[in-house]
Amino acid sequence: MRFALAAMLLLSAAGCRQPRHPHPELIVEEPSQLKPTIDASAAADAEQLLEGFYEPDPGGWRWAAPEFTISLGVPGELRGKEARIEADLWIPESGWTHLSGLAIAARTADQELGRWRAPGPGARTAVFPVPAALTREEAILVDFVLDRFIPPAGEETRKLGVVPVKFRLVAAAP
Amino acid sequence: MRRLSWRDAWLVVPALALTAWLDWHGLKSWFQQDDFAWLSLGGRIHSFHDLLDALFRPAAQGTVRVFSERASFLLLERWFGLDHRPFHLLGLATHALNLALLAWITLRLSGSRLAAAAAPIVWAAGLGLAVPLAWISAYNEILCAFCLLAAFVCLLEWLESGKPLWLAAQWAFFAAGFGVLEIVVVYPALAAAWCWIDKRRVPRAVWWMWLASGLFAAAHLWLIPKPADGPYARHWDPSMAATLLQYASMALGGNLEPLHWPLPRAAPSIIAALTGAAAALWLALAWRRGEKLALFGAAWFALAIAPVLPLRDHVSDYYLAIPSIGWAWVAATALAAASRGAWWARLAAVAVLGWHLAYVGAAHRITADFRYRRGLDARHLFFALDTAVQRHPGKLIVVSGLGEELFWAAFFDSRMLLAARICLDPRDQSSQWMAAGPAFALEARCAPAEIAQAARDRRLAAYRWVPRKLHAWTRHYRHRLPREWLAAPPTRIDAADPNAAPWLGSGWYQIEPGGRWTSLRAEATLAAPDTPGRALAIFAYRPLEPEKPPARLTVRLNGVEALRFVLPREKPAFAATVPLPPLAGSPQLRVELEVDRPFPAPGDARRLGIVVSRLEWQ
Repeated sequence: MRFALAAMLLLSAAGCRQPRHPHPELIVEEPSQLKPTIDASAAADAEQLLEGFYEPDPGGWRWAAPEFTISLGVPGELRGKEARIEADLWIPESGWTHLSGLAIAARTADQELGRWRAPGPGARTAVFPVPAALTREEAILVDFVLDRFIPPAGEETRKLGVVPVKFRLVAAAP
Repeated sequence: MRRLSWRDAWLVVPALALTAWLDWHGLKSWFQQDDFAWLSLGGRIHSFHDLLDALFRPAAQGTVRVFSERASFLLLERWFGLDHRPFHLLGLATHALNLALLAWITLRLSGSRLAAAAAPIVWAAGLGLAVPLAWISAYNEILCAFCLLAAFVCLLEWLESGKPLWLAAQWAFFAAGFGVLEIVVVYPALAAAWCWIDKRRVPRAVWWMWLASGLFAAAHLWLIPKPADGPYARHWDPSMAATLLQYASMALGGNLEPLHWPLPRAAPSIIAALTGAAAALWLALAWRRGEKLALFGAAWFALAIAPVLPLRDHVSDYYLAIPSIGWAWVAATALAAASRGAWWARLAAVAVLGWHLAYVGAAHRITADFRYRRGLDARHLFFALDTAVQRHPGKLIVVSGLGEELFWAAFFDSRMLLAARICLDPRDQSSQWMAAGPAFALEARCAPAEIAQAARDRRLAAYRWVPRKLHAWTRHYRHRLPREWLAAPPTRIDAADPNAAPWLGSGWYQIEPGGRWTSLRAEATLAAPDTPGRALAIFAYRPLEPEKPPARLTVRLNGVEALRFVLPREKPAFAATVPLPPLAGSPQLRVELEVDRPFPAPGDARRLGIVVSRLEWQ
């Protein structure tokens, strides 16, 4: 009787083994689909602002550092075709003494995309060509490098570049 | 000698209640460190031979703890999987038995119910038990304490009754202890110490146990290789005295500053010195009064700590678990003696013991809580990695952002349970401590060539550990891969892949289904591995030639012959593995394959060697 009881206990214990289930709550995966157009002030697009962006200011806009990186999705209709990146930027009037003559270079890991020179302060759109070889993937990651910036001064301890507003990956001009 | 009855069961209740309070979190700690290695044992058993290997092959500094580590992990993992609770229940049940045995022995030898209740309390509060109750791999300390206490109970019964059954039972617990923890070798010394203190005579039956311990110790010392350096190196020199003092200080005064506790901040050394002075005073009195259990307690502490004293660089609080039984007897007998004395003696004993318990209890609880929190982190990291492996089967998983604490608690060993190559990013700032850490930790780092190869093959999954979660950043990580990594030679060459052509030197024919024929001699270039312990695997075939002796393959690495391999007679496909020598400073691994005679293919004028499908280091 005792042996039967012990055997039953052991058998019931053997049934307690739990299979290893996935724990999706412990993983934050990359978005499978990246947007080809992102708004730098939109929280929903923040995961495509990869590096070099400061926390949003109270107005919702955010400064970028002298070097920043974004990712843009390549929509199906642009795959394998020439395209261009349009970056809507705001260059503050107050910082123009430091930024005068500002040039922004864009590049991917393997290739320079071009260089854009700011004609003056205010709202501007920088355009960079994207060769067809770079649109074969589902996404494109781009580094932007500014050749000058607003240095830290007073209570402002950050190196400030420009205020990016929007980035778009669109078809190259015909 | 006073007998214990069931009515005396209350004697262990305060100690159990104290355990419940001190180890409330510790007893809920998840698996960590070595636990993963033991948990992975079951997955390696596919035959009876594997089972024997899992149970008896020396591991972890040459130990063979069949009952406390191998069997308990094998069975409980098989029954309950990665559920830590049954493991802790087993530990708690054994601990409760130990407390009962301790109370039984104390009452029996001191005749004092106060001492019999106090000894388990002092032992349970001690720092030595915090880790064994919280860390499942240290269960061996609890089970070994059980073997020693149970054997000692049998000795007492045998000494009193003379019945051989008790002697046999003593031998059984003592012998079982060899499969639990090596410390059990001190049992004959403990038994002899009691016999001498009690009767000034050691029975012959006790001396026989010295033979068993001697044989075990000799086998352990001579048959199992001991590390010459590192934390487990043994130092048989005067430093052992300093180590003994260090352990005594830890046992008497705790080891941690009781931060965030409502206690005056006193240095542990001051608390240890005060308690130690009181203990020395009591032992001197006990010597004059013939308080045998107090003297035996001091002997127990010294003898049980002795085997770890040569481990100068591995002073661990949990090594105090068994010796602290001796301290518990010293303290409990002091309290019992004081209770029979003047009011000031009672007050002094209560004050010193209360002071001691407050500080060691705080250190105990802090240690147990720390293990619990670390277990939580380990659990999160393990299941996050497990989920990543399930989501990315066959991929190389590169992790960054792990600190040293979590690396050792959950990353290094847990990878044995996961069916993927998981490693750290070699550039990661949070793993820079590895440069000063033990060399084997570097095995957990990916080689740059390995990462570049996975990136080229689209087999890369990169994650960052942001406390309690893994964040994928594969695209970003690939974007930031140094160009020189991507330009480096590969870690694997699929001979039939046209992209591999730049890494194939002379002696290769065109691509064919399944690989390429080599000529009699062929060259290829792979990245050199950056950590020791790697091996080059060559997957190839050559049609059988039944009438001729098998061909021979010679493998040279960077011009040095590394392998001579006779091709199998019975099947055309084969895999040859070449251990890779240290290639310090060499970024490339030039592989030369040379076959001793051509394969005569009808109608083919080429001088054919072997068909290589893949070269890779593993």
